[in-house]
Amino acid sequence: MKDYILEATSSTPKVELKVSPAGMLLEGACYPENAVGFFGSIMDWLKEFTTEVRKPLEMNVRLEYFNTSSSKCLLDLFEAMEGYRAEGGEVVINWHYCEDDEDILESGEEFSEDLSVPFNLVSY
Amino acid sequence: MLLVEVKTLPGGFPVRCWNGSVTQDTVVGLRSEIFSLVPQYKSARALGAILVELLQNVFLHGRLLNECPEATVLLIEFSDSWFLSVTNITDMPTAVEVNRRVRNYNALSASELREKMKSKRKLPINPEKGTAGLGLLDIIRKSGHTLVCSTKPHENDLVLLEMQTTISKETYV
Repeated sequence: MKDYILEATSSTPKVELKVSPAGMLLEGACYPENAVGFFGSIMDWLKEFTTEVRKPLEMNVRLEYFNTSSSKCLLDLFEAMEGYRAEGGEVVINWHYCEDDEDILESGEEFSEDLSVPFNLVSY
Repeated sequence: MLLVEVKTLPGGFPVRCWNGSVTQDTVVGLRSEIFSLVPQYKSARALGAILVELLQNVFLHGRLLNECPEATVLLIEFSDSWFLSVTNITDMPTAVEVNRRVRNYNALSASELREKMKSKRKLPINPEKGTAGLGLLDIIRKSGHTLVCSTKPHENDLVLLEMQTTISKETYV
């Protein structure tokens, strides 16, 4: 299985999905024209990782802005992490927010309320 | 500059306007421009987010026309608030559906909006209906004001759909 790396653009975040050491990072702004298409590759990587590699996995999400379409796709990703955990996988999600950004913090709180995976709110 | 100052209202309030076809490049460009026009970063962040939702979810991803040279964005800065208006062409059934949703969502309290967004977020994305109103909920929630939706007749059974919102400056100090 390979790493999956994407550089950030003005409307999509930097994406680093690494097998060893295992980790996922989304960083930047996220409002692609086609959120489902953009997140599809990330979801495919995650499915392959949780099927074949099955190592402990840390996801770091550090988005300064994301649109509502992306929020649905993020929830799908988090639920996939939840499914991996239910099958015995070790996972943690770190939701990073700028300390003066109540919207991003509140979004993180809303996600965490509906998830059973370890979900840390981390200010910067 | 995409948003061009077209006039000044009594009191010295500048009216900025953009007109053309909405593409993803336009969305990116207009959001970027908000950050250069609005000195208060938190206000710019909120305005930019609301503008993206208006443009993407209402105009790019609905059953609306992507090529509409009549699409217009209007931004007015008042002393205590920002006024944002987006107009585009659509078909009547879509306009009626958007109006119906906006009316329903405007009636929700802050806590009801929050819960509605959470429940909508769990629904799968419908290729034809997009995020099923999630963007409209987000606009109302972030602005803290009702969303004003109106239509005017256009040619060939199409209508001009206008959506207006206000963002109080004190909300994002």
